[in-house]
Amino acid sequence: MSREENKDVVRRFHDGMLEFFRTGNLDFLVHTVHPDCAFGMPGMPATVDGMQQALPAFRTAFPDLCTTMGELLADGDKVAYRLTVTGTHTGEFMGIPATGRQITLTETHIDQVANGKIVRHDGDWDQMGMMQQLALTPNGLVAQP
Amino acid sequence: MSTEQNKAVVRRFMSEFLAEGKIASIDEVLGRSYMNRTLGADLEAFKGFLPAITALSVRRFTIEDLVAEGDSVVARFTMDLGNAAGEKVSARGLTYYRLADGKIVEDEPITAPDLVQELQKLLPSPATA
Repeated sequence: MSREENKDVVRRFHDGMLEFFRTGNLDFLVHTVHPDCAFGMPGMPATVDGMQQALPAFRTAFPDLCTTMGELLADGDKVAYRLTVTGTHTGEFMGIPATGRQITLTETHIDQVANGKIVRHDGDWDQMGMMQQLALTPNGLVAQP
Repeated sequence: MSTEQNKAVVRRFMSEFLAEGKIASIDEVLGRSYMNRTLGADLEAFKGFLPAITALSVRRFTIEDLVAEGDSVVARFTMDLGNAAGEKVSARGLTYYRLADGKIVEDEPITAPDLVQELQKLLPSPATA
């Protein structure tokens, strides 16, 4: 696979994620991710099965969630990129009732691609920034005014 | 500059300057328009902040992955920091770097746990974000 082909796989994964937030359809995980893919994202499951379980909770919490992809860096079998995520907290999230607040945060990811499928997905997202925008303290409680 | 040269600059920034503490010559790897988006620090503010980091007795940065294309490099790393009182913090993270003319001009680390919060546990006065 060429670097440009690997970028296309990652773009399809991202398009699939956007489609999921619009429709709830998780088929993109089957089409773009290897069944044994290892996910390395703090606070998120490490397996495809785990992601299938976890993602609907995010859609419930942030139904209008939208992600914008920055430039893709391809190097060997890896593709790195930043995402800007925006969404409105209108559903329960990790036990926290909807606050109605809008969040904007940055994520950075590295995907490893083999034979047209993502085989490893590492990512970090600005968890502190998210909690500050939701006005939550680190232990998950809404801060008192 | 080639992507391999840009990767070498990122490696030097982490190993020679953050880990080994040779901050007197940090202008060799940071450009004048340097901006650390996570700390909200420009070059002068970042330089003002560095001695607090290099005063820590434990500073270990391990690069797990470097992905580069064009002017940008993304590093996946782990870090272990500790102070003289024996307090230690560890974090993992991904940093987006943009380089111009062989120097870093944009630096956006995202770590778990949060970098600023972890540093506040180690430093005598709160790190300014």
